[in-house]
Amino acid sequence: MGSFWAFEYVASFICLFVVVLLTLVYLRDRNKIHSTRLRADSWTPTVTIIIPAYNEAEYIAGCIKSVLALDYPKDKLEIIVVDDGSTDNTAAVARSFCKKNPHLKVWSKPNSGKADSMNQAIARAKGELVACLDADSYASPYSLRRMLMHFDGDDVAAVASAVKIRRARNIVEEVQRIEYFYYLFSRRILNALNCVTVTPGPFSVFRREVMLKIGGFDRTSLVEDQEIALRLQKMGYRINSSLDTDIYTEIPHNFFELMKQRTRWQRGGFWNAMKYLDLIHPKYGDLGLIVLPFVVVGYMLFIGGLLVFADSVLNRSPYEEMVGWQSFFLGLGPTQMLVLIWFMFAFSWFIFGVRPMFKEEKIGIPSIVLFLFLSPIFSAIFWFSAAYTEIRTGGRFAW
Amino acid sequence: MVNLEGKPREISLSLYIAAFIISVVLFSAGIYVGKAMEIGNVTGLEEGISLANSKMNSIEMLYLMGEDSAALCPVYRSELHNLDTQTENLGYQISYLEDKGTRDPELKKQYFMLEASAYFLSQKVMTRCSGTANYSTVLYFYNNRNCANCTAQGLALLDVKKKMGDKLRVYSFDGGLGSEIVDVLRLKYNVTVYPSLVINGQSTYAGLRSTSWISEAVTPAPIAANASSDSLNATADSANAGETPAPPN
Repeated sequence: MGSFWAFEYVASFICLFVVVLLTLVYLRDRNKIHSTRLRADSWTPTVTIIIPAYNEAEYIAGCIKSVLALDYPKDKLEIIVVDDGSTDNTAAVARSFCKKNPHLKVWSKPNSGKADSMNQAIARAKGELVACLDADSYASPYSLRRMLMHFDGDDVAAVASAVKIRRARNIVEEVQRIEYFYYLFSRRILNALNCVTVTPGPFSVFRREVMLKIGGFDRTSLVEDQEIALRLQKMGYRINSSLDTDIYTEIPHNFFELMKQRTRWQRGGFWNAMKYLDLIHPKYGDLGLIVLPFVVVGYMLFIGGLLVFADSVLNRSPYEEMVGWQSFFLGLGPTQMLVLIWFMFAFSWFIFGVRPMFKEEKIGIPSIVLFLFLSPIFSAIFWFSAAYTEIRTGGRFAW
Repeated sequence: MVNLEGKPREISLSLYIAAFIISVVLFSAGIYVGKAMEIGNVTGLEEGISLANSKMNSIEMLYLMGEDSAALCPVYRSELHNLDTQTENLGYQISYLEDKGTRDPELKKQYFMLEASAYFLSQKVMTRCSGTANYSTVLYFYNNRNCANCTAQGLALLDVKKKMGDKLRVYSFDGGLGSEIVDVLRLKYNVTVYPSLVINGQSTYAGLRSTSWISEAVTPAPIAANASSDSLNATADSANAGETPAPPN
């Protein structure tokens, strides 16, 4: 056994427990998890779609076109494009749509960040619901109607969309494409436990009254879509995650762009977890007893995992080269078996859960294996990057 | 608007209990299978040692059948080379397993017996098949439990072995396991400290030796026709402070 066998055993058990628990939730609630509507009636309240944009001239036209094509009564739809002090012709591109679409408004303001832009727009909005759509995302025509089917109670403050990637052109994009399906699947499971902890930035719908009551998005958070979700959970609201409401978003096209994005996510996620540590309490039900504690434990396990990895690299046996390929089999022990069991669970999730859930999508087995293999490695690199950036910037960030 | 603060939230206790039980079962199964694989690795090496011993017995039989004739020398050399390669590979696997935390003293003792037998058999064969040996030998005595410089010495030897390949044969013996054959060898070569090196069966050097020193010291040595493996002039040369003395017998 290696030097860190006790840590490896504890970490393996915790990871195994989490994946077994979520699997049991899926098995218990699979009909509900696969369900595409939670309310029987067709509900069409007034909706304001807010599109915050900063230097998005390349994508804003496609985004606006997709919103204009929504299958929703135009007299109940308001669209506000918030030009947050762009230095390109974002505003001009957006305004070119206004003449033919009187329900579309473009509002230019000094740059103050995405969260503040959305908050100011929410204050001006007229809709009963407000939806926040990223300027580099595209809504499917049916997405809004289907999302509204998930407001199945007055305590539902928000509904998250099913964010997907249209096509992948390289390995980095393919890993993200599979990752987004994994996120969707696991969020549906967490939805069954009322433990959704993020309202995805690309497109989420909120009750305007609730947003005004709680003060809107946090301007200081790097991942305001996660922070608002945690705040809503703290106040006792429910967040539902929809399944068949396809929102397509632009993603980083290479590893360095991805690292920049995920560095921000990791930093923001960490500080959100620290801000809401008080949610770790039995009074918050499954969220406080299992989901959030495991998020915090996950950070600790990750740091420990890095130490174990560093130890295995620094203390690599000098005889490994002499033993050659036999080292793989000689190195097999309890830890490797536990990792294999976890991997089999994770793989089964994709085969029996994710693929049936997204039958029309091409989710091949090589892509699944690629994701399961590369994702932990990428995460480790992003963690290092997040820690380094945090130290280097002293916690400052930019939009 | 609804007032939800303070509203109790659900705890899925039955799910947690079920998940815990299933996790314990799977975890235990994983540990059990993993341990079985570790034991299987050791068993595999024991079988490897047994096979190597069978091979050595065959070579000994050939050696005895050949009487004093040198006609079978090419066969001896070829078979010894295969045996040494097999023995070395077993040694690397045992060392690799030790680095991974799997230690089996009895396995190592079996291995030392194989090493010693292979070493002395090759000495006898080279005596009959007179001529210059095309490789050097190093007997390396160490102690895994109590020797500050033994790790460094092992790495230095490994470096030299990687560079010289078949031109160097290293026979390693752990003096801290209570192996009788190792104790006899220590007496024979006057090994009193760890680490110690016996170069080409002739000189004993105590203390840590560098890679460059070893590379110069090991040169293919001609073996005289009447050289006896019993005659030795052991030179105790304490090169470094910190060498660990071997316990007296």
